[in-house]
Amino acid sequence: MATRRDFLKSASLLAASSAVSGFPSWAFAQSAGGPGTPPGKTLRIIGESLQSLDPIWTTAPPTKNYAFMIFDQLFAVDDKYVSQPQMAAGYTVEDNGMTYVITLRDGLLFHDGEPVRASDCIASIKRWSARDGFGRAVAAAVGEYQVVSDKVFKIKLAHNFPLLIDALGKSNSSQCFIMPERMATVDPTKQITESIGSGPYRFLREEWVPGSFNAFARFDKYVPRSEPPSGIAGGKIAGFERVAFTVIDDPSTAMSALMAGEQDYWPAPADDLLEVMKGDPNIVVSQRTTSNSYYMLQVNHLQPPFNNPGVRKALAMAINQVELISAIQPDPKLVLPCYSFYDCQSPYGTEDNAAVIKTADIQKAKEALAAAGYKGEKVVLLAVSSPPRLSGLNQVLDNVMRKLGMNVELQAMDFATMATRRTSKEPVEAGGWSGFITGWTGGDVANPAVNQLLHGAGEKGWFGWANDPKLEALKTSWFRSADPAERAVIAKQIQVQAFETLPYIPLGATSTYHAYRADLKGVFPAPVNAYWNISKGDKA
Amino acid sequence: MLRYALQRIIMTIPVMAVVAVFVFGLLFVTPGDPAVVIAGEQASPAEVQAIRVAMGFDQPFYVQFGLWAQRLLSGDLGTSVFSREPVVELIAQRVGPTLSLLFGGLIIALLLSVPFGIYAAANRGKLFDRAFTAITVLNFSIPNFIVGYLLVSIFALGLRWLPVQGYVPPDRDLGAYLLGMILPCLTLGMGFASLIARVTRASMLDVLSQDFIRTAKAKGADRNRILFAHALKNASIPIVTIVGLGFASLIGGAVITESIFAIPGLGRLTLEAISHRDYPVIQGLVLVFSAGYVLVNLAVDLIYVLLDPRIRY
Repeated sequence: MATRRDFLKSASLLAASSAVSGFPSWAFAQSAGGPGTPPGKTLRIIGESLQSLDPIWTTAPPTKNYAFMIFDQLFAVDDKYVSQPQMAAGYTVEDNGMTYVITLRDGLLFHDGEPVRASDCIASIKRWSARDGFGRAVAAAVGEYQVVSDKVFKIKLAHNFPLLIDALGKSNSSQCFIMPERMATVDPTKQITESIGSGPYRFLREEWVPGSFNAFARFDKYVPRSEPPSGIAGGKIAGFERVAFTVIDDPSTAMSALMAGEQDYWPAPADDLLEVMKGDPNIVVSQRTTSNSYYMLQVNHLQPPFNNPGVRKALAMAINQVELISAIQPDPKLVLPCYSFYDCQSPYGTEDNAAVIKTADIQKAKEALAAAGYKGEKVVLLAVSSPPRLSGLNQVLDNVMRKLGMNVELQAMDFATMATRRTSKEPVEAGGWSGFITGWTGGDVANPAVNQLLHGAGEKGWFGWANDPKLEALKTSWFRSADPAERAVIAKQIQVQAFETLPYIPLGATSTYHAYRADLKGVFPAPVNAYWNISKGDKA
Repeated sequence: MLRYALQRIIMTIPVMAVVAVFVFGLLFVTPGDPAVVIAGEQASPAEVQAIRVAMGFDQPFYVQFGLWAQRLLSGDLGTSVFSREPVVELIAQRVGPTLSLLFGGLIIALLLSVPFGIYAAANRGKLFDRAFTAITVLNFSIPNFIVGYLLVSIFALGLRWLPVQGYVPPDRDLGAYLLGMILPCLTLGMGFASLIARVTRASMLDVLSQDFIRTAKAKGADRNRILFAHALKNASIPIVTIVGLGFASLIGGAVITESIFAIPGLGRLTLEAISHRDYPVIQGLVLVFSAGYVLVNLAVDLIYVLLDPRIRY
């Protein structure tokens, strides 16, 4: 039966072919970059709904994108995920690794004209480290912050924490953005409403229509680093006078707007429309992001049946990552099985002890399930219905579980409902749950510090509440180790242990293409949606 | 009539109060916690609770409702949980595009439907009437998102006469505003046009078969006078009724149309607010929509009186 998607694709193909074949037209010139915007001086981006202006208060991706436009970081990861000085001119380590002295670059200014001072940085680190997972490890390790001068400050550690610079430069989830002290001293559970950063663009608050439109103007006093961009490190050049984000909910409309030249850049094109855009010579479809999307099944370790390690193992044996990811990713090149608890592109992404999730055999899994003593206990899968990839994965996983012989009930819901339901530790009969699928970027699972799901902390840890003291002990050793080679060995041991107890089940990965007009220049690979260093010229 | 209008407006107050209590109660028992959404994936239960307390979501129903009602009485609809913008301002930002869409859609629907409905009735059983019947059934059967995509394919991507999406306020650029609203209003209005056209035809046929029309014909009145002076005025009550009822359903269609054409209207604001559990925004919007329904119904009642002086309330 023809689906709505089929119709959209057909309509889009019809439109694309008519546009390309010289259909008589009155060229419609429109600047969607906002009123009064000179075309060509604005980068017009199909954006997501920006609702909040506080990247510490919420980890919502649109707020993160906004924050990367207006804020800057002391350190930022390069294309190899190594933290490099960004606002910092550099740093030294003293007292046998127990004191970090960080010096700020010259010329750093906030958008209100005030210079960036050491006290702003300390207040920003404190606020971030009260909320972020990696940040909390920083907070636990820091003994004292000390202002040496307006441009220099010290971080004195209470115990050894060799990952301090990595934490300050992290690119995933919640980042340590530097704000004026008056903003950074706001209770981190309350939202800041000011929009003053020191990044290459400043926020045009008066043009903001929450959830619909937001725009930025070049901050003329921004002093970029001299190095070329690498990841999100290096020089950030504001290539446009304005950057305007228009929220277009409908993927078909978004594609049409890009093809018609009403928009310049679409960072999250729908997978099933990519082929249409690839056929348009004015559109570039490229795999810009350096961070893949990883999917996991988080199971509930407190309640049957997944409190039984044998049942977890049987389910892991039944899952075929290639089949699962293929169901949501039409491009075979982007079906990326990953038999690791870490980002497979990261140095830790090995397949040690991964045999259980490489089995992919329903028959063997059935035998393992019977051996584990599964008695037909009800399995409640909390299935978010959006985004489409998660919805698709839920349906395929539901089918795998049924084939395995599990008594599964897929409960479709929106994210807000799922986010509340998953906090329940009750049995499924009392509103509890058995599993849910979640998605994270490669940066979020690159190592034990950032991978929130990889834990054995029981009820103090992430949802699912896996309890594995050995895993936790290994993680503590990893945090304390100053030797990268030793950390790599411990990371491997963590994975070996994790495949024994399965705190969660990795489901594989895929990637995302970006689509943009061919006259954009300077689009560089990055782990986040970075819009600096891009400019407009002839076709690339 | 003025007295009647005032009475009706005053009567809306208890209706709105009931709506307010009902909606507040409904949201209170709806699953989903804005504090969890705000806190993000890495938050601990303690952090979620801290946010809940900071936002006042830990208070019992009657306290939260009392505070909200107290603010409402002073004209304050509260502040968005997420954007921290006043709900009144958020609605004010969005009401213009939605009204443009609704009235534009209505005008297009009326322009397309009433003349053709009258003409079909006047030519009952002829080729035009049969074609009219088939086309209206077909048009009414097509979901408006499909109409929207087809219009975009033809007029925006193919002919490049009109923009694919977006909204430009009329005070900034009237020409761009008008061009930008053509496709959305057509999308919204076309389905509604079929409904009005069918009712117009049926109502006209009913009136045209009555004795006074036969008398007018016998007295030699010309065709146009019979159709427009005698028949249409008497056939208007059902048409106005369906326009009034349909206008309310247009609001539902506007949500889809706004999404297709990226129009920053109240429909999209509603969807956003529901998905984030932004309770103050949802409550404000429901009140605005309720008031809109009541006003449309009031307008319909008043038009009845204008059309038929025998109607008294």
